[in-house]
Amino acid sequence: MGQTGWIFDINRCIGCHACTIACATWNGTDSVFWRPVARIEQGTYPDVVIRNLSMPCRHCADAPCMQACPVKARSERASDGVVLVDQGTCVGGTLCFWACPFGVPKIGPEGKMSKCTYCDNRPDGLPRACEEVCPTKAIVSGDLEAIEPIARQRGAERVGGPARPALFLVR
Amino acid sequence: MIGTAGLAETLERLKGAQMTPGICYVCPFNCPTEVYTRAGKIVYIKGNQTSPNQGSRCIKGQASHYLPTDPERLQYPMRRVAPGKFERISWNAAFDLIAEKLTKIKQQWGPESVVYLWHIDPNSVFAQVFLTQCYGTPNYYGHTSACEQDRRLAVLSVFGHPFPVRDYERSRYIMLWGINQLGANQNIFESIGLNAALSQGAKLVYVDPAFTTTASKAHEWIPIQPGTDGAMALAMTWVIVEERLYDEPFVRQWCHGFDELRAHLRERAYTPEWAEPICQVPAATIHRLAREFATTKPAIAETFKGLGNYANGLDASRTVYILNALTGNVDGPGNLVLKEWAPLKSPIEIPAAKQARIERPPLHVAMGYPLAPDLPTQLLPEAVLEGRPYPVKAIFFQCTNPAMSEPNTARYLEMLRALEFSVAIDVYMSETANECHLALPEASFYERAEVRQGLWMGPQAILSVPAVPPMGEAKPLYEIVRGIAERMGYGEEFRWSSWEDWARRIVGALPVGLDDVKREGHWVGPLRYHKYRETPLGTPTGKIELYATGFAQHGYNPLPEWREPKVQPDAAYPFRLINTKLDVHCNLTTQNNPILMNLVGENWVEMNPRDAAPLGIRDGDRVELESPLGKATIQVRLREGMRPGVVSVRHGHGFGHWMGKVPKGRGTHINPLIDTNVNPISGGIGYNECQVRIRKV
Repeated sequence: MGQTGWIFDINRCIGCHACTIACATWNGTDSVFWRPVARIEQGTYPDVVIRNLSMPCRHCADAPCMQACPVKARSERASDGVVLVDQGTCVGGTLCFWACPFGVPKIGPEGKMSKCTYCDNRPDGLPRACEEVCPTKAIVSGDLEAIEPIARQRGAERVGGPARPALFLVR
Repeated sequence: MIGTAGLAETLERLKGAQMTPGICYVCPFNCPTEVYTRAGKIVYIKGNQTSPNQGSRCIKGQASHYLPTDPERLQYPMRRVAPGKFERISWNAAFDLIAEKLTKIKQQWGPESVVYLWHIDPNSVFAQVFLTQCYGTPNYYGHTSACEQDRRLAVLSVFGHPFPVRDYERSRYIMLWGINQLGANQNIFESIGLNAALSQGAKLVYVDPAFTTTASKAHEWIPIQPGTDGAMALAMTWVIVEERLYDEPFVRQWCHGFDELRAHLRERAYTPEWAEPICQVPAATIHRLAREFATTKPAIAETFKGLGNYANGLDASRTVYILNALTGNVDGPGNLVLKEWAPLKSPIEIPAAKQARIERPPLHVAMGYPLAPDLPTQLLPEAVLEGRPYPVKAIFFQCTNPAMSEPNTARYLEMLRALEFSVAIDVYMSETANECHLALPEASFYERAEVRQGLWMGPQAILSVPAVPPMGEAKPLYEIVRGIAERMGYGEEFRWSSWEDWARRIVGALPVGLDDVKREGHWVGPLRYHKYRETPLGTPTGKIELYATGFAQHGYNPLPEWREPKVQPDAAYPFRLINTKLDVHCNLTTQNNPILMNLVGENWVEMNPRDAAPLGIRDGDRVELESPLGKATIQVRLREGMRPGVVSVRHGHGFGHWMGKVPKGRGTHINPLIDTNVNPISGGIGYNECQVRIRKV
């Protein structure tokens, strides 16, 4: 299996936050939200648009958080590129937060950094917790090569940048 | 890679948990769920994957695992000893007191002086049987007048059906009037269908003064002048009739009153040109939408509280349903579906010899609202305080908090404090419970069994197995009613050794047994469309009624008319205040959940920047809203997606002392600003009949 990641469809997302809480419930993180949702309203009455963004870790292929961590608490899983934080090694340095172009890492109640683990305890082939609950099917997970046809069909493009986030975005 | 086969078993293994089927009761749409429990604690919950609800689940239901562990829940029967002061008593003492009071009140005032109110109706059938068949009061009521009173009466009069549901997924043209399907974040299984329809290229037109989540997904947003949807709908009806765009064979065969409707529309000249200045929607747009709606099939025109929140909402809603009827969009794929019910039976049988005789008409009839589908609750204070139409001396409040949910709050508190006897059955010590003589702890929906109708399009029974034991001494409603019934001579009838006994009676007419329903969490019958072709509808003529014969029989106009909203902004109070929902909370029930309160801890008022600027108001300021009835301070959010002249408050927050530490002092309760204005036929509450002035504080 190659690099694994996401499709996210801004057009479909209704900003309902079901993914936020499904993730928090599955992973037992209470109010530390690994998948926050933002709502952006633009335009002038009556020509208004709202866009909603549900933003997990992008599991970047060249993750700056990994390079920034001074105690090497972050690693990239060889099988699929999922970026994980070792809670035992982490000292809460927060350098990963500053390095991440997307502001993903969260500080947990014990002062350690935590983030999306791509539901690492769910086997392949099962939907991720966020994906499972989404009522608009705005979230798709999987091996990037395998989900690329779906991305193309929905008009999604791979998000660019030197970190190489594993994310196709439908705008 | 979305594989759902074996998903539940895999999740069970991953969590070391056992899965039991459940029903979510945060909102009234009751998604069937899977509840994963390990060592007496709920470790995960998700939507039931095998039911046609497609695993539906929202943030509110997902976060509800907090409820069985919330230490601030009502855990013991509490008796009021002084205003705001309660002492704990035993269940035996509570049951004895209730039996004693009910007996005394019946002797002195008659059983009809006892009223029972529910909001969401978990297991309420037990209370209904006991009160109406054993005790003898007809006054068993729900919350419809605060919710969908106008819609309910509109669909009953047009289709003879109380609860049409929406087959969005197969629809090609969907016109939503004042129903924020995607933003109110309830009936998620229908939202899934709407999203699927949009993915397949269906057109969505959305009518609402506010640019809601649903508006953001619509192809067209019609920012209508609030409370004028009836005029626009009548004008669309005029176009469809005059341009002969209606489905003539369908109307001829299945509808009653077309000639009368056409004559009425002509006589009143309800044209798009007439509607334009009223609605502030161009006549050309009304013409075009009427033509599009009538010629794109299958189609749905639907409404909910956005119209019902005005005193003119009944006729406006009826007209929206008439649009469906004229175009043949009834009970077919991609239409409003006249939901078929599962053949469920009552859990309790009262033999004829022990049935109470009901001596007086129900309150809503005696109040002069014979067609009201549910009690006009805004008129209840008169019955308690002035004995009109007849005295009400005792009220049960089950899972309902009218001290917060009803408008004209001051009058409602006055009523609560004047009751001879009042009992709250709730999971929290709510504002209403705090005014009652007794507050009884009800078991949460994870702690009780339930068998009831599901709300999917076809026949569906859904079932909940208790996942964890009740907290403290909380009891499911069936145990509470049993305790009262036993002391009042009906112990024989309210007898079971386990909940499966009565559950077996409920599902007795299904083609499967209780064990099958327990395993799946639900039973589903075949989905049938166009049922009116086989069975006459529940209207007086048996047909779809464009002309409401039931209305005519009661002296009401059987054809829909245009009337302005009762309250209009003016120079002194220049803004209309409308109400809407938070998508992260459910009305008044979730504000003690710290997870949800971390996301949205306060409610707010939304205002257009061009209204705010002359008043010196900036985004995030605190402002004072003042109506002729009262004032309140609230935070403001400016947004372009709001019709100028209109301000919108997110309903639900603003708890003073009660319901625990989490919401205390957070948010603003604006119901005290809204006066009593009800629809004259349905008694539905006009929450948007409110004018305010605004100043920065």
